[in-house]
Amino acid sequence: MDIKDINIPILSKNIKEGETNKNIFESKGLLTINLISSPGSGKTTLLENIAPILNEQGFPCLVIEGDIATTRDAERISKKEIKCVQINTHGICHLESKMIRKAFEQLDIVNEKILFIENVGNLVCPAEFYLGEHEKIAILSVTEGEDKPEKYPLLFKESSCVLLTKVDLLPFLDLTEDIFISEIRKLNKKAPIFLMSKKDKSSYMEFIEWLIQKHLAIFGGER
Amino acid sequence: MHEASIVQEIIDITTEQAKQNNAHKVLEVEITVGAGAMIETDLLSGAFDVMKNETMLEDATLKINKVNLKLHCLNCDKISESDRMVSMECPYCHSFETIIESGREMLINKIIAE
Ligand SMILES: [Zn+2]
Repeated sequence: MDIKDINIPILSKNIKEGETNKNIFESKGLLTINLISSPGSGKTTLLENIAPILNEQGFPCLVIEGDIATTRDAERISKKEIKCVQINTHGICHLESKMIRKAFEQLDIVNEKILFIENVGNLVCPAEFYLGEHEKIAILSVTEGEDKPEKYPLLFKESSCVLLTKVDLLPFLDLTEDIFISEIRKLNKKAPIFLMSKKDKSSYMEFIEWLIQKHLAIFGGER
Repeated sequence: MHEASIVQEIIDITTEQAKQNNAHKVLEVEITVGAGAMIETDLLSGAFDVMKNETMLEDATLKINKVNLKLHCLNCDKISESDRMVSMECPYCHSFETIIESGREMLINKIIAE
C-alpha cells in the first residue's frame, strides 16, 4: 500500500515537545534562553559572571548545561552556587526538547526567574532544534574571527540578540568591533549586539537589562 | 552531525504511520530535504542503513528528494537558487537583505508498506 502525500515534518515531534516545555516554563514564571555558540566562546564564563548580578537584581537564574561528554562546565557553575543540572548528550551534537524536560524536572525551583540552556558547543545543529525557549542567543568570541557569521548565517539571522565576547582581546587580533558588528548586521538588522569582556564587569549590564526587560514583557510586574 | 537524530525520527514517524494503516512491513520511505536543512544526505543514508535494523523498516529503502534553497532578495527582488547552504548574499546584487523562501524543509512525503 502507498501512504501518500503525508508531508510530515521530520522534526515535528521535537517542536511539539518544545511547545510543552514552553508551557511548563511559563507556568513557573521562567524566561528561557537558549545559548548557542562554538566551544570556547565563553558561555560558562558569561553565566558565572551574570548570575550573581541577576540574583542581586531580583532575577535569580537556573542553568541547564549541555555537554557532549564532560561535567566540567556544570561543576564550574555549581561552584558559584547557581542551581544547575547537566545533560550529557553522549556524543550528540545538540540538545532536544525531551532531554530538556527530563533535566528540568531535576531542578528545584523556588523563586527563579530565568532559565539558561547552555547548548552544546556547535553553531549548526543546535540552531535546528527548538527547545521551548523564548529567545535564542548567539555568542561569538572575537578570537573566532569575523567571518563566523557569514559561515553560519542561519544562527545569526535568527538570533534575538548576539553577544560578542572577549572584546578585551581585540587589540591583539588586529580587528575592530566595527568589523564584527557590520558582519553581524549583514545578516541581522534588528538584534541588539552586546559587547562584553570578563575584565570589565560593567560590560554585562546592558545584556542583563535586556534580559530583565524580556522577563517583564512576558510576565509583567515591576523591577 | 545530527543525522542520527533525524533518522530516529524518520523511523518513529514511519512506524507510527504504517501501524495506523495496519501494515507490518515498510518497503520504501520517501523524504524531502532542503539544501538549507543543514543535513548531509550521504550521512543520512548511511545512518538509515544501520539504524533500520530490527525495526519495521528493516527492508526499506530511503528515497531522498533534495530541493534547492531559494533566496528572495529584497533589494533587487530576484530569486536565486542554491544546492547548498551558503551565505545569505544575493548573487545578483550582492545584498544581504534576503529571505529564505524555501529549502529549509525536511518532510516525510510518502511511505510504501505492506
Ligand atoms: Zn539582489
